[in-house]
Amino acid sequence: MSSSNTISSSWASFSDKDQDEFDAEEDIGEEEKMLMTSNRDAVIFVIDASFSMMKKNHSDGIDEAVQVAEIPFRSAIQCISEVMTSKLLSDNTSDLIGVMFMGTKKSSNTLQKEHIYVLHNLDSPDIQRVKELNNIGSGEVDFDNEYGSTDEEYPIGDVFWICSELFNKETSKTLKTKRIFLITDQDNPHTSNPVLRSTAITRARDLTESGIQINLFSLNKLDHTFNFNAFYSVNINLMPAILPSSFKSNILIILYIFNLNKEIIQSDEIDEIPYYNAQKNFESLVSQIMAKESPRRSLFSIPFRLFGGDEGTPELTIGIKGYAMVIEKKKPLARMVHMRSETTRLAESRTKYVCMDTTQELMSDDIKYCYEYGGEKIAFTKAEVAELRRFGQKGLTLIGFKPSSVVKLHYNIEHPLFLYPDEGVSSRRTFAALHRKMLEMDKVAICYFVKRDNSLPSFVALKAQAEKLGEEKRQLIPPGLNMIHLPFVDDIRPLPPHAEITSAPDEMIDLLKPIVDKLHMKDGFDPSKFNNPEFIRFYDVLQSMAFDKEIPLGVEDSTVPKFATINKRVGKIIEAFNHEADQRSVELLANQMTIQSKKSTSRGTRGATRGTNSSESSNVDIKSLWEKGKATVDQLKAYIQATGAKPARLKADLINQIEGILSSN
Amino acid sequence: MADKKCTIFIVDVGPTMWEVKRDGSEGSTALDLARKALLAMLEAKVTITSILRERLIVFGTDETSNQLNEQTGEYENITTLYPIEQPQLPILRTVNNNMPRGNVQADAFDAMIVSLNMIEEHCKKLKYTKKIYLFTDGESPINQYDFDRVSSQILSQNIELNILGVDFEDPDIRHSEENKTENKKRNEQFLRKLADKCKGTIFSMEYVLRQLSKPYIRPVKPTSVYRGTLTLGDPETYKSASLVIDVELIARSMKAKLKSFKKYSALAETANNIENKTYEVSQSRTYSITVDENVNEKVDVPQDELDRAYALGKTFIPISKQDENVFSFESSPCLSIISFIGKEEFRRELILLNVFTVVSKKDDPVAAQRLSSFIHVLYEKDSYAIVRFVKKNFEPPKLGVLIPYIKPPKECLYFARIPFKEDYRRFTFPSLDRIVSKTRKELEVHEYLPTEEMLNKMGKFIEDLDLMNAAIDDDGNPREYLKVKECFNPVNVMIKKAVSHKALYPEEPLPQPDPALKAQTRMLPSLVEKNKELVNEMRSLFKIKEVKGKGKTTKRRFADANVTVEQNLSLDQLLSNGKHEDLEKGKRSKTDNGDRENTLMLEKQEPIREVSLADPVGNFKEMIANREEDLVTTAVEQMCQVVEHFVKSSFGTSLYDKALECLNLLRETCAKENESELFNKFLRELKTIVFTTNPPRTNFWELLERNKLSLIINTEADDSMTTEKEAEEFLKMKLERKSIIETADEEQMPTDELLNLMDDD
Repeated sequence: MSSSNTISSSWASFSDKDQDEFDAEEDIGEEEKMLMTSNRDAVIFVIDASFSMMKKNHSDGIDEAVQVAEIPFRSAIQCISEVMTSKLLSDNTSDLIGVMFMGTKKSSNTLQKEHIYVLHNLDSPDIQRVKELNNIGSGEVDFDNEYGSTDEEYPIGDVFWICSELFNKETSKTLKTKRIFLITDQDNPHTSNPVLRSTAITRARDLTESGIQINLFSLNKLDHTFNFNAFYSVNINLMPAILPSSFKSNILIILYIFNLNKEIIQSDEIDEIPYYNAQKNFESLVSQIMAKESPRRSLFSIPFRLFGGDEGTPELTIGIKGYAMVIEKKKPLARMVHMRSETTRLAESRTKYVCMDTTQELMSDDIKYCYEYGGEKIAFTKAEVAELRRFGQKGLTLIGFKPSSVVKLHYNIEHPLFLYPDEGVSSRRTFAALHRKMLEMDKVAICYFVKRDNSLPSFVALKAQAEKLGEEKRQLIPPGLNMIHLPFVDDIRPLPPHAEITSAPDEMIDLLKPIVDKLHMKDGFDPSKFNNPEFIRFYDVLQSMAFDKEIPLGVEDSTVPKFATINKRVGKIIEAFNHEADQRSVELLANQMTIQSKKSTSRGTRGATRGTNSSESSNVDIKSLWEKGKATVDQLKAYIQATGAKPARLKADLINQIEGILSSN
Repeated sequence: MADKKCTIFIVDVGPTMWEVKRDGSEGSTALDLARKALLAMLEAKVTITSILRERLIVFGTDETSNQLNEQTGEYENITTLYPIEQPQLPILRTVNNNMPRGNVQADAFDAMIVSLNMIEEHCKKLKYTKKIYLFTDGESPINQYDFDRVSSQILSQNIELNILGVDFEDPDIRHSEENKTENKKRNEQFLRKLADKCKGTIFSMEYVLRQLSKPYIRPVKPTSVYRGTLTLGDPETYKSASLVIDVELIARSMKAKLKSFKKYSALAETANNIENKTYEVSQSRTYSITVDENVNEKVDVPQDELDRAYALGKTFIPISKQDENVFSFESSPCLSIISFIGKEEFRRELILLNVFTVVSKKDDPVAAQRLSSFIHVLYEKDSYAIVRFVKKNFEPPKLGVLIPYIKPPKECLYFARIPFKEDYRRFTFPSLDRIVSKTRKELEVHEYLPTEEMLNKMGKFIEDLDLMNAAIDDDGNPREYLKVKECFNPVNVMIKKAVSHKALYPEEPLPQPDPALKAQTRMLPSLVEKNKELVNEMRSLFKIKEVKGKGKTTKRRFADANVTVEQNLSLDQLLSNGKHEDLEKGKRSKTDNGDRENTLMLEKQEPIREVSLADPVGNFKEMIANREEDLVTTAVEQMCQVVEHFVKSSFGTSLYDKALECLNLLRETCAKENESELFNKFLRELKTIVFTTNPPRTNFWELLERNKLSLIINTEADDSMTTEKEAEEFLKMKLERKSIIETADEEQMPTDELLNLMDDD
């Protein structure tokens, strides 16, 4: 297998990289990982497979995605497959999903009940299951033959019973939520059988009492609009939603409800969750889905020493917690797996260290750390290195306050953190007072920060962030303190000398100015509008490999500017600007030549000996060289390039070109 | 290519340099000062990798050993100590420990001539930056006859002359001139004349030592990470209607890193019979898999039986390193404007990483003029540009913001990366100044809300701790304290100091932290003194209690319990994530994902992933404390099962104490780890189980009641929605056993394990 080669070659470079071990902050990856952890939800999809669900649904023709959604049952299956896939792709793979059909001819369930077919027990989604659903959804599997539909009456109560059985079987894992997603077009079961009807109601209530939530996704029949009040919302405590005809919307709704936290569902705010229907704004739905994806978890909890603590001084210390709201997410890591036996197993690796001199294996106590210095190796014990890296007490220590303006924009070396007080009343109140006054006074707090005992220290600026609320008082930006890591003096690089330039003339500036308003992005920059194309591509490829599909060529890339729009709005402005700039550039180049020639004479012998390599040749006074017949081809090319033209390839053409330019000046 | 440098250090070691102990400097001699300065200069140099040629010459020695003497017989009492070579540790050691001392007053000029001769011979006509440093107290007589010859040679050879004189005139320190000998006065004047003539510099040793005591920051050469165009519009399609400016990106801020530590074999240190020890450590990796989950045993597998794969859910999709490029997609280098936003609309805290400067292509006035126009447009419109940035062909695009910066005569743009949707988490937090009651009324007074008085005091606190005038400048005027340019990285300084210290004194302990650096990490004593009263008032006003060790010992993962765990954590573990950051810094093209994976897996000691029945408390604590991996949720979930199991399988009340201990720990952890809801949910379930299981475990609930162990309430953890009252009622209210769907719970544990457990009790 070829992979072995690459691994050993990676070893070769390994020891070099190993050097960097001590240099880096320790928890970049950790922060990420920490934020990826999930809460485990369990959902059983129950799909009505009776005849009416198999009847083609006439689309309104508005939505192009409706073509595939013609048969309600298949459309539902496809939705579930999409939901499962999205779970596969998210980092949140610990959620459990089960799928069962009701109203089938055949049956398969542990309680031997008729017309109920459990396709998937509760388990985390995997590719096999998605493939299976896809085959049913696309019609590749002959559903009639494999499962069949029925119109016979069967107790809906059994469906609930089997669901509760499925949940109960899942005792090995503690679940955060247990929910049933019921997809049906039958709004009034057992109209003529009061016994079955009341059993169903009892069973459903039993479910809710044992903490299992029922979410009803209703489908309208061709000739009949689903009536919640006929049975479900009157008799059963559930969360209803109407599935619109749009395929994409369905997925979003299901996903959204999937990701809703149970705390919301359990709180008395049920009425705040509206009946979802096609009119809902899906953009906001999507963003809410995303908001639920990453549970809020603090990275650290440390003391914030506002004052004192030394002997003889009063101490003012509160507890704070730190969060990473902005942090670069990396592509997942490749793992080493063993795929040669029946089950694929993840390999664990262990590194062996060997002393090159004695060829003996080294235990961790046998390893010291050294620094090359003056041709020798200066060795330190681990404890010494740890001691060297530690500078100051763990926590955040206030040094004082400065106006916000001192935190210049280029004072940024890594992602910021976010601070919020811990649960104590006095912490909360002191923090709130500090927060409010810092906002009012437009000040930042300068502090010394040691995240953990083994963290490298830094100076930080704390900047108060005001709470910002959107519609319906939904929080857009949370209140708290942003912590910006200030650079040390050696982290700042000076501006390069060629930042020193002559300001452009006002005419040029004024010509260009309108572009800003014409291409202004409404409401500022919102990260949620830009998916990282690298990840989209990554998962596109993985998915197509998993499902044996052809790997797509391109990628959906939201970072590509909308060139047509840009051209429509500002093309003319830029054209005018370019025209002006071109005219001025002639003048500019002529000036430059005279300046350069003056410089080169005044520089004296030192300057002259510096040689004329091609990169500098545009500085050289081409005109005089040309006249003396001493210019090199490279110099001429560079000169032509500097005028904005493309230099010719052949020397003869080049000469013509130069003559043309020089005579036009 | 770095410039080649040739430097000669000439040190006066005559009797006046070392016989007299100086006042006030702890009995050190002039030679001690010279050594100290020389050492500091050499220390900064031994870590430089560029070509340096240095040599040490001492004069005033009893012996004579130099080339000119051999040729001419003159130039006596001058000894060349090291050939011209890369400065290495031996030269440092000599300066530090074995600096020769002579009893002869030799001529500094003779030494100078010897040096000039040496430089000429070594450098010939090659391009070198040449320097001479002369360390002297100026007491020995100088033969002035050679003045013209020496000065003209220094000038013609383009040598930088630096004279460091002990007790020479210093603009900052007023010396009492009376104590100076006639000799010294004359020589100082003469050397000054020489320095003037040769465009050299003369320093007082004291000044030099002061300068050298500051941490040395090596200047970094600006290198561009991107040379290409800044565009607005698509020049391919709309040629003349698109803006194209040739620009470069150069780092403006970048975490400075020291050269790193390498692994070093302590075993080789003690091995006797080995010559030419390298002390090097090589590493190799072995892989193992668990074949049978029920048997906790790992089997080694050879690497070529393994595949490199990515996880998609539970499935692994093998992709070899060579095939890694299936993930790449076409993209070509660009810095292309997407749109503009108002300065006020931009949230500074969105800046992801470090900042770059965007300047126009070097020596290109046309590009400069265009860029300047664009900079001014942004500046005058108070706007920023959002851009797509691709560094190289086939590299994934990134998002960035362009910010205008004008400080005449400099103009540039700053470029900073901003987050994609995936990089940004929309957490929500309770409002700090808006408390809404259950009845949806906004409260004016609440314990979370600071009072007017509190706000006033806090305002005064902020004002009094203002740093803009907290320091004093050289003229005695107040100035800003702790500017970025005054903040040295204390760890980097410490490491440098420790390395050179250890090199010279291998047996000594590490040097003490620099007091000045230490002071920077705390509030200025003057500010502390000034605000004691105010803080005392604030303390009582805000009712600040001593933070009961909370935070001080609290780790993110776990309080109290993990203090010991933390100490046991190997340094490797603490540091092993290091490479990650490097990769982030753009080395990704060289070290691809395979390496990342390797390094991540490196040195991982088998972490505990299971809360066992045998040692639930220990296992749980360890899992919570795992910093390599977040096992919090897993640990909590498993602990829930363990508690449930204990309660259900207890013979009478035999396991109740154990269950209670676990439950207590679980509760404490959940409150700290934002898992309150998980705990509360579990406790509700447990309640149901307790009252409905057969036989009912009602007495366990009574135990909880006695211990007041109820739901986590909202004052304990902010992710809890339960009020204190609810929690109380929850504990009090007992359930009737009623017909809920029977949860026929099967034993999960193998019976023998269960038996073991019972034996324990």
